Formats: sequence, structure tokens, C-alpha cells
Amino acid sequence: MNLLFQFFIALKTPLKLQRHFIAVLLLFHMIVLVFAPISTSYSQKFTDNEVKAALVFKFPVYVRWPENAMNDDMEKFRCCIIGEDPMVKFLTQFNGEKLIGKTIHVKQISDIDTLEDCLMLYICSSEKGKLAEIMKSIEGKPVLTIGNMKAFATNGGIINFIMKEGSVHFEINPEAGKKAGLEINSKLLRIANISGNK
Amino acid sequence: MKKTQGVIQGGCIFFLTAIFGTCFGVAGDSRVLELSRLSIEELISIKVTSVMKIPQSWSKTPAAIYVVTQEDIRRSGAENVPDLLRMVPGVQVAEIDEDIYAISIRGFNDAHANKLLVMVDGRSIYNHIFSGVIWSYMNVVMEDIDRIEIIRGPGSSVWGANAVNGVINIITKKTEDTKGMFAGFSGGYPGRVSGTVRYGGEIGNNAGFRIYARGYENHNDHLSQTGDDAGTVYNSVMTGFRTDWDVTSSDNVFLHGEMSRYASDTVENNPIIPDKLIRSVDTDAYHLLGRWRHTFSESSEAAWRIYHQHEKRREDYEFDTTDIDFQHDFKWKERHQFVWGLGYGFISDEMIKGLLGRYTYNPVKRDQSLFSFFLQDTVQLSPDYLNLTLGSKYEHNDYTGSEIQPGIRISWTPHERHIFWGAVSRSVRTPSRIDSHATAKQGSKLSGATGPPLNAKAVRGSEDFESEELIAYELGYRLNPRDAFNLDFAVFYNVYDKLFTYEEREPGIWEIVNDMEGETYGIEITADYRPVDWWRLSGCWSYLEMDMRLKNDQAADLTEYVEETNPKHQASLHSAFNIRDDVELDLSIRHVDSIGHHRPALRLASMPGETGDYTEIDIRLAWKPVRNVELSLNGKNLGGGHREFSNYEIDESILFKVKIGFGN
Repeated sequence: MNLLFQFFIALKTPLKLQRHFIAVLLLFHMIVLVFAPISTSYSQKFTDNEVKAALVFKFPVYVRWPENAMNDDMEKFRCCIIGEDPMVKFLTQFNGEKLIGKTIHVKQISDIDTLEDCLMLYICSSEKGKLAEIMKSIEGKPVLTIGNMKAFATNGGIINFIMKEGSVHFEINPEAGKKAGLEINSKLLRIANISGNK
Repeated sequence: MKKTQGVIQGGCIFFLTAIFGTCFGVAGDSRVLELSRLSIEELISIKVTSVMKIPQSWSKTPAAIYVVTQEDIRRSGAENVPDLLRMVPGVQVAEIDEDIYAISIRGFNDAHANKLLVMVDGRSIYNHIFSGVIWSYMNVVMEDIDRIEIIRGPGSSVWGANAVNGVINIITKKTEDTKGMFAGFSGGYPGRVSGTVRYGGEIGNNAGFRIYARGYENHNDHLSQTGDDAGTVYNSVMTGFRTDWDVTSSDNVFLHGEMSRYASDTVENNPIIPDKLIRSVDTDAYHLLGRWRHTFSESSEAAWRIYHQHEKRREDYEFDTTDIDFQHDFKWKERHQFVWGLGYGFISDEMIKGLLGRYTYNPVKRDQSLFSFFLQDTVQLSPDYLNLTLGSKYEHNDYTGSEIQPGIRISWTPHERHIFWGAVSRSVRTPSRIDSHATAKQGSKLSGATGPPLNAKAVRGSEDFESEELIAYELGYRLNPRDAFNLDFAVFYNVYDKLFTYEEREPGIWEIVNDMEGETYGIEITADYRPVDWWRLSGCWSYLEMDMRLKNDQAADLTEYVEETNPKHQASLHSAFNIRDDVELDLSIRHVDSIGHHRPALRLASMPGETGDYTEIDIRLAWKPVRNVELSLNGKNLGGGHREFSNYEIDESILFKVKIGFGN
């Protein structure tokens, strides 16, 4: 603080102002100390991956699967994850939660052929190189594909996360949804950026 | 110094109380489930922190690594890379004279510091004449830097010779992050102005570009190294472009080109000759870099990189560098992650007067080539817990022939948040053009940290000069970046051999020899604490001890010089505070220990002495009146000014900045 004083002296600031300024600085830090624990619980800051994970389990509400896809197991809503990325640990936290009257089962698969009866497939960013292969093997199946990578929606994916002005946003390729036999509610389409096949 | 102690103590107490005060504030799991109660509309309107911008892989890297993020760059208010590096642990930064920097990692600092590798997007920017970097030529758009990765300790098993004490890699933003128009202007006291414009956009669906230009001019009246009144005017302009193109989903091509011009004139008023032009530098440079990356599969990737660069300093030197390298990463049998690479570099130069202008070279023109190969394997000894990295680089250069630089690293991750690591590596600093071929008269100096003895009539390089060698032992611990607090701790013990000194060959004629050896050791601690999204506190402390010895009584005793030009202690503390969503206040305090700066080589050898320790305060106040506009007031060195490496005085400065546009 002595140095700060010297600085003010150099600038010929009146003594009263110097003290005032330093008092304000100290006050700032006091405020942080006192309120920090409280404010963490109130104004939490979330990471993009946390928000994306929450969104993943919002989408099914606005999607209608063909009858035969839903019949397999009335109780369970199966969500598959292929690959590795930081979203995985958040998605798995939804295990056992309720969604559209079913219980969520999150399953990590290493091979696309073990997809079986998953209604939803989250494709991790690690799979970018294999995207075409994955898309080909689920072609025509009633699976809601969700991705988190550039050019996902233009390459046949249905929903893809994007960032927009510091918030999480998503784009939808309605054509890809139609191909998979899914009906996407117009409310969701209105919120989303619309994307087409390349 | 009492007052500096006060500041440091105050800072420590402040830091500690802050940590204890808020430890219990970090709470709660299932934050995601809490989020899922919100509606889609609410979720997409939440402003999110873009996590730690440190890619996952870095937090697991078993090395002393520090990443300067975009946010750090913006909030530092720094106008150039050297000022940014001041916040990095283990890095010595000292401004020797107006716009001339000495920068090193873990010691051996000097204007001609040569144990450091500096790259921009994988392109080495070192000057082969003295194996170092001329920092003032690095005119970069600060807003275009994505991050700077600084590795303390040898990186030679992958990057080769000269990555002896560390590696600094500057990575620029991809074009998709710099769309739209950006303009920045700054001006302030003492006389400095700079301006930047950039425009970025898309070409079709899969490609993007940006074009940019930046220029600056600084005027400064000051005391020169020799203690006389001096004035410098220096200016630099540069322009360049970058394109990124996703040719297919598994092929990416990026192309970067830039040209720049740098000029500076220093006028000194010494008692005998007023307005004496003591230094005039006029440099033109350009480069073109291309990289093609192909992804074979999730676990296999290859990249080709090729670049050409040209640098010409009028009346001094000219050189062209062409470099091509290939690197391939792949996974083998689940447990092995291999990386191997091949490289070839070719440099063609012409030395007119060389650096500082008082050298003669034999030969004047020379071509040199470098061939290299490396292989590295990271083995999972016990999946998720224990990893072993073994690797080596083989290099063939025209000065010393073959060099082998192996390294071994082990990392233990008992828990995903904790990583312990250790490493032993060998590294060499191969001779530079000056070391081998230069002769300097009238007691000028050659490369390395040091000058020759005072009675020297001439000093000369020698083709017998061999590589300087290092065996480094390192240990570290890192609390991985997550939640509010992270910590990085590293200790090192470096054993050097065949270090540079001189020996008298004929009366008054001294020649460069490898007759010094020694050890350095030290500790570096970095902590970062972010209790709330509107306040972040980060600090670091570095300690360095150097102990040099002569291997031969006849050699010039440069041990003290080498030991004393590096501060023992360095500490810094930065508080990044958001007063409101649109107002930011940054405060930083740094303390640097005293150093000796005897410069026996310089003309005024009567100016030896000490550069005292100093504590400085920087303050930045920034306001965003509307979106995409940022106004800021940056006060630097408000502690009252100081000296860093010579008698050159660094004073307070005030800078006003305006930034308009996207991607800032």
C-alpha cells in the first residue's frame, strides 16, 4: 500500500482522496471474503457442458418416436453415449431420473453395433473422425442423434450444440429427423437454428 | 527493503484469508440435475463460463506446464508477448533497453539468452545467429492469440536442441473464432500509439479466413544502458492472413502468411557527442506456413507442416529458413500411445555485420541443414493410474553432427484431480553461427550470457565449440483445474556441463570454449482461485539458485556473471475482479529480486553494479458500454518505476485502449 501512496503523491492527489481510494479497494476485498460463500450457492456459474447435458434430457419432451420404437420397453428410456468427452460425466448423472414417464438409463457404448434399443444417441466430439461411419450404421433407425461438434447437423446429425454470444444454443436438421422417422415439435424448431444437409 | 516486504506480506495474508474464507463455499453435486429443472428457453439464456480453456490433455501432462489463456491476455492489458510472460512462473523477463528484452526460463537470462525454444503455431521463431529470439520483432495481434503454452524444463525429446530450459508455444486462434470486423486502438504516456484491424469471414461451408494488420510507434526518452540521456523512436507494421479449411471431415488444412517491417533509431546525448545515433535497426521479414492434418481414426492422426521464413536486417544480416516436418500419433494395443516424427530444416544466410554490427564472420555466407527424427511412447502401466513416457530425439546438425536427447517421464494419478509426476531428460544447446564463426574486436561479446575479460583485444568463435549439455531432474504435483481452486507445484535440479566461457589462446585473443559446468535448482508454485464467477485470484512464486564452476583455471571466470543475472525470488499476484457485468478491475503486484548486471563486455565497463529488487503494481479498469465495445485504462509500473537488467529506467505508463468488434 505504501507504493500506492507514493503513486498518489506522484500524481499530487489530495491525501483524503488517496485514503478514500485505498479504503474502497480494501472494502472490495472484504466484500468478496464475506459474500463469496453465500454467492456461490445463489449465483452459480455453470459451464457449457453442464447446460448442454441438461438440454439433452429436455429434447425428448418435444420429439415423438414411432410407435414400434417405444414399444420395446415401456419402462426405460435408453440413452446411449458413444466416445469420450467432458459431457459424459454429466450425462451419466441422469441415470434413474424420470423422463416422459420412463426411467432414464444412460449407457456408454464403444461400438455402434451395440446400439440396440437406444432412443437417443449422444455422439462425443472424440468420434468426429468416425461420424460418417456411425451415421451410416444407424441410417433409418428411430434414433435421436445429438452431437457437439462442427458440421454435425450438416452431416446427417439431428441436433447439434453451438455457442452463441456466451450461451449454449443448438441447431436442428429437420430433414435428418424426418429420415429417422422422428416427429419434432414445432416449438423446439422455433427455438433452434435450422440447418440442412450439405 | 521494508516497504516491499510490507506489500508482499499484505498480499500473502490477503490471499490466505481469501482461501480460508471461502473454502466451505464450494459446494454441491448434481448441479446438472438442478439445471434440468429449468426450461429450454431458460437454459439457452444462461451465460456460461467456457470452462477452463486448458484442454483436458494439459491437465494430465506430466510436465511443468503453464497456459496463458485468452482471458489472461485480455485482462493483463499487455501490448506485447514479453509483458504477458511476466505472469508466468519460472520465467525471467527483463527489459534491457527500450524494446529490447532478455527472456529465459529457469535461469541463464541475457539479451542473447539461448536455452529456450519459442514457436508460433509450431514455427520456430529463433534466430540461428545466436540461437535466441529477438522479441521486439514479434509484432502479434494480441486478440488473435488463442493461448500460450509454456513448458518449463527440457522439451528436447520431442522438440529437439534449444528446448533446453523450456518451450514457449504461441497458438493463434482458428479463423472460426475471428469472424467479423475487429478494430483496436491504444495510446498513452509515455508516447505510444498502436492500431489493429482485422476482418474474418467464411468461404463456403467448410473454410474460413482472416486478414489483419497492426502497427505501432513508440517514443521514449530515457537513460540508456550506459547512463546517458537517450531517446528512441521505434515503429513496426505488419500484415497477414490465415485460412482454415476442412477439406473433408478428416482433413484439415491451414495456411498462414505474414510480412512485417521493424525500424528503430536510438539517439544518445552523451557529454562529448550530442544527438549521437547509437543504434539504428531496420528489419524486414515474412513467412508462409502451411499445415495439413489428417485423421485416420479416433486414435490415429498425422500432420505435415511446412514453412518458409525470411528475415533481413539492413546492413547486418539476411537469412532464409525452410522447414518441413511430419508427425504421426497413434494408439497401439490399447496401452501404448505412440508419437513419431521426422523433420528437415535448411537455413541459408549472409552475415554482413551480424548482430550489434562489430563482428566479422568466416565464412560470411553459409548454408546449414538439420535432420531430425523422434519417437515417443506413452505406456499405461496401470490404466488410469500410472503412465510412463519414454522417448528420444535424434538430430544431425552441421556443427556437432549427431545429437541424441532422450527423456523419461512417469506420472501417477491416484485420483482424477491429483497428478504426481517426475522426469529425467537430457538436452543440448547446439552451437550457433556466432559461437562457431564470429570474431569480435574491441571487447565486444559473443553469444551466451557473457562477455569476455576486460583485457581482450578480440574474441572469436571456434568450430571446436561443442554443444552445451543438460541433464534435468524434475518432480511435480498438480491439483487439476476444476472447481474453484487449482495448484501447480514443481521442483527441478539441473546439471549442466560444457557451458560456454573463453580461454586466452594468444595474448589478448580469447576463444570460446566449453569450460564451465554447474547446477541450478529451484521451486515454482502457482495457485489459482476462483470462488465466484466475478472474482479470480492467481499468484505464483518462483525460486532459483545457480551454482557455476570453471572446469579449467585458465578459462575466463564468468561464473558470477551467469549466477547473478537471474533473480532468486519472483512473485506475483493478480486479482481479476468484475465490479459489475460490464466493469472489470484488475490489480496485479509483482516482486522481482535484485540481480547483478556487470557487463564487462560493454564499452562502459565502469558501470557494473546491481539492479535492485523491485515491486510494481499494474491496474486495469475496463468498461463495456455496449456489446462488442471495450474501453480500458491501463496503468503499468505504478510502483514508481525501476530498472530490470541495466541502467535503463522503466517508468510508469498509462495506456488508454479501445476495442471494437467481434472475437476480442
